[in-house]
Amino acid sequence: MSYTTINQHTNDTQLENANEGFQILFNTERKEKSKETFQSLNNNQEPEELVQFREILFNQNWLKIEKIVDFHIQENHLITAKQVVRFVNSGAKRNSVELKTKLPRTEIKTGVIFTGANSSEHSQGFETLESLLKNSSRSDHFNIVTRLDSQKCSSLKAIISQFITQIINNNQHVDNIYSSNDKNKQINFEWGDEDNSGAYEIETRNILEYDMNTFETYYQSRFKNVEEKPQVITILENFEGFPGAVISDFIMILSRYINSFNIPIVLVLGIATTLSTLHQSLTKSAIQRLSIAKFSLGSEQELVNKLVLDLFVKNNSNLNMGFDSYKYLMKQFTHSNLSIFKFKQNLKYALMDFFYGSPLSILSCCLKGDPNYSEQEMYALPKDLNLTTDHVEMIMMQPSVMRFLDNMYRNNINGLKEAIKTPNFFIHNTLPKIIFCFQFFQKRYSMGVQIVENIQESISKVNSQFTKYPIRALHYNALENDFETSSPWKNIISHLRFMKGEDMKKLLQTTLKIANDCESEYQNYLSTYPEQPDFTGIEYTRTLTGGIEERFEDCISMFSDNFNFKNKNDGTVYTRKQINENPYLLVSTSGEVGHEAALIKSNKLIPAIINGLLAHYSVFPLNEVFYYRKHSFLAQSFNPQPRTSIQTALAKPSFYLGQCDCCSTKVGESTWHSNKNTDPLLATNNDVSIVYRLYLECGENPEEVNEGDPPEKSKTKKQKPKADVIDVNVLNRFILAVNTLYYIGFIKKTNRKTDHVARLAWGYV
Amino acid sequence: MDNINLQLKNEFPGRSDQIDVLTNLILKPGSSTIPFIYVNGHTATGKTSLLTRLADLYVKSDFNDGNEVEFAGNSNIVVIDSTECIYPKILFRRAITTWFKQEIYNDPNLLKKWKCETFEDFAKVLNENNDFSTKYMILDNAEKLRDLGHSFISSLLYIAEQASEKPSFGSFPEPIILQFNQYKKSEVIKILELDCPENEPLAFFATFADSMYETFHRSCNDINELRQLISLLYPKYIQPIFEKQATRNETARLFKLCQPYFVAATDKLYLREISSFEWQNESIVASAKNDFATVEKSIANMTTTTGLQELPYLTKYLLISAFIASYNPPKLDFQYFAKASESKSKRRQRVPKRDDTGSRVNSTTTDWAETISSKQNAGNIL
Repeated sequence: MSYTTINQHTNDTQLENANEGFQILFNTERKEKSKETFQSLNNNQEPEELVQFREILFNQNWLKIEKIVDFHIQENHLITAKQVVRFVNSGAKRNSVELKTKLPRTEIKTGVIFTGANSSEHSQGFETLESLLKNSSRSDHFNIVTRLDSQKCSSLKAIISQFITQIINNNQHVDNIYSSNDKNKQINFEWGDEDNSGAYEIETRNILEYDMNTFETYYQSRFKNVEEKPQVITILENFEGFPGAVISDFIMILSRYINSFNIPIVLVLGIATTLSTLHQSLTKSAIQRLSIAKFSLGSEQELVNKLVLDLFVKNNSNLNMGFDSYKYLMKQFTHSNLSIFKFKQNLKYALMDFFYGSPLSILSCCLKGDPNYSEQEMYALPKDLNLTTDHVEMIMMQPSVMRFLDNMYRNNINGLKEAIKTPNFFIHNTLPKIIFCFQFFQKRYSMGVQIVENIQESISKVNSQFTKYPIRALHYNALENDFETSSPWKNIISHLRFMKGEDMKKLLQTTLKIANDCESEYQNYLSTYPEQPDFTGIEYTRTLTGGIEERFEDCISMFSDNFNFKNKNDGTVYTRKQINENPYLLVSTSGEVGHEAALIKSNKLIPAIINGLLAHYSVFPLNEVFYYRKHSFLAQSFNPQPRTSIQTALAKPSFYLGQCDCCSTKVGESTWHSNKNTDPLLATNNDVSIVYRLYLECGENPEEVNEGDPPEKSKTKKQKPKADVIDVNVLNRFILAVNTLYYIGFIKKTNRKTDHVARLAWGYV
Repeated sequence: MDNINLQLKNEFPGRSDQIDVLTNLILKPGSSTIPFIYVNGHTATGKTSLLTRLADLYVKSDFNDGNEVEFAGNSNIVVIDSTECIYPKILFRRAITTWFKQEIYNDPNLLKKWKCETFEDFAKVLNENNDFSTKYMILDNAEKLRDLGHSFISSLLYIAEQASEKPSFGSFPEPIILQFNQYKKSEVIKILELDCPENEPLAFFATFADSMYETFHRSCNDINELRQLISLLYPKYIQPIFEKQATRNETARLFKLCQPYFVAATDKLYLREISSFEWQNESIVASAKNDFATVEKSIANMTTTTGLQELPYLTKYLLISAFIASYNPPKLDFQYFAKASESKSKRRQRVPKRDDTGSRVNSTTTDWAETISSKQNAGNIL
């Protein structure tokens, strides 16, 4: 079994051999063929059906990614929503079992949900909460839910109108429930008394004229004969958006209805910042009326960790990020916004570029996905893709493919020749193996990350000072360089060396379990292939773990054998430096001396296995195709530079405004053209644009710019125009344009005497 | 009527004078019409609760024999929270639906008929249904009525004249001002004693209430806050008795056992960092077995979730630098926040000459300040 492709980088000699071989073969073939090369794929020569297929693949993959992202967001929201629902439906709890005390006054049950900085992204969470609250049933207990929008509730009038309108219109579910429940009870639900004589009818008034009396009348008459009245739950989604005084008044009013009319009202507040916002916005008397329980809508960082695990580590999407692209994604997220929506946008853009920008992206449909996420998956074998010879050549020119072929056909030169020379053989026989190996390495990588997570978990249990690295950091370090050289792994290993025998044994057992699980999952995955993979030349891919279970079992058995060993404390004292360098010195003086050999072996085994599992992606075959690396493209698209854009717009207005026919003819005639970076100056251009280009010509002294249209006046500086030539309107336009440039920040004032400049520039106007 | 007076005095200790005034002015049928009573006082001095209770008893009582009966007909007294009155119409409707409840009950179309959009409409309704009985309107949070227009309150005061269609006499009589002063200690204790739980000895509860008052009265005069704190802390105070680790006579021991809660939680409860819900649901059951560290940890756990815990990296830097900048003089901004060093002026700064007059001015200023402060002190004493 050979692990050369996984554990060792192919050395330069091997690569040179392969390169030499490719050059000889292809040069001879190309001489025979026309001058066309595989680059024709990038010169609009790709078959149209494959281009369309790429678009289909993009749409399908994006749906898959979106589904995964939405699932995690939804899951995150659902946990909080369930907690809030439990709180809303819970009864009051007494402070003491023995003592019958009650609070001086009834407070409004209030759930405060901390949403995080990107409050606009959490409307989905509140929708989930609303639907849960509406549908949550506890015997015959139902909720009336209102969701108030801060943009429509700027005054008390507006907030009351919204509140009552939503209660009456948006809670049909309560009407349905009570109507169905009360068939036997014969309760009249007209708004009024049971006999309908002298009923208080709510007038169909203008919505803006609703007052709280309407609410009271509606509620009391509607649920007059109901034993357990429904709770009225008011959700204020974006609390910071409401005026504090208005909300305070609203709370005071609600409090009165709770105390005077026994209407059970619950408030749910979505706060983006901190609890102090509540204290700062509301009046003291309003705060006194709230009984607050706090909830959190989940951390964005944890959500991203889950997404990284699912999308990139377990590779449930077909989008793999190279180091720079991944770094850009994470940097944007952690440094700039902590926004999942922006993260999603970046992903979509990267995916779009991946499929639209790379002809070989069609190979991603040959990647067999996880059975759990493969409902909508479009899986095809390479032979079904109608790959052209250009495709084959392009694939074979990838360095990783060269290395892979070199390794696979190390002892079979004829096979190598056939693979290179016969595209049909390559597509039918070799390419499936390459793609299969790529996935094999990814699965090993995923297992490696799981094991590292498990190691971290074990260390944090025994060492409270150890801080776990999040998955996104582990993935970052594994992508950057070899994981074994990264600082997180060095830190983990240093802590691992101080683990006690019993803890190490548990760690090995749990790691063994993970390895077994991954192996069985892998075998299950292999069984889902429509055709059994051909393992010829890639025998090591038959099993995912490659026999590491036996090595773990050996280690575990060593712990069991030497568990009861006598202490051989000889009273030796070691310095801290000595112990840090060799922790086993301490072990040998402690009661765990019997575990010394096992500990030493475990501490060698674990790093060796992790090094093998978390191989750098550059050794994966076809990584050039499957890993998206264009970070600069993402950066340009998502980090626009407004100053540069304005400069471009002013220097080349035709980019933005286009050019009419008459102007395009004048361009050729124009004598004034400072450089290639700017459009030629025309009298029809915008004033600011003209002045800006003159400014570029004149340098930093805008006073030296002459008035008038440059094409007519030529580009001479400090020209004294005659007084009778100057038109006051033109002068005004010029001053306005200079002021605009000053306002935008392209020019700055100088300390030169204005009268001197005016004389110089304008003569004696 | 005397029953109401007595009942109110029992329920509202320390407000006998105000109750007497109010019952004399309101409860006597046929008493001379008063234009309006201006009830004034600090927060939590019993204004709203007393007037609401008075109205409640007034509605329920039968004037002839003083017995409470369930009243279903018209009521001459209405309590309106001015906060809710976002339109004048709402206030008018609230008043007429209470004053003429019987008429509306008999003919529901009356509400539609009486539009009550303006003062004229309201006065007209009152005039048409004049039964020569005095109508009372209690307006809570009356300052909110200013939002309805600058002339609304003054117009409301003239509504009686408009309703009776009597000619105006020009000047309006001065209002009766009823001041609700702050409670004294004995009154506070009496009020707190009203919250004594069932089956608890009043004297024992009063001791606890007294000690709470002594602890907090310097910083907190709000009786609602005191009641809230007592209701939350009393169960912790008494728990060792239920566990038979102390007796009711061992006050010092009980206070010592309760001390961790007082030390670690009172400020948080007062500032509402821990809400009553969290306290009742999440605080550990008080016990003599709990040491200080355990109690402190349990209370700290309740205050861990305070909101936003994550900010983007650059936002954090921006906030920190803004915070630091706010504490620096502007002239140091360039030095601290700019990459390039500030070019120092080579001009030699002129050292101002020492002037003897400066010391004289300073001394004069000091004297003047001392004189002012001594005068203020004297004013305080006076």
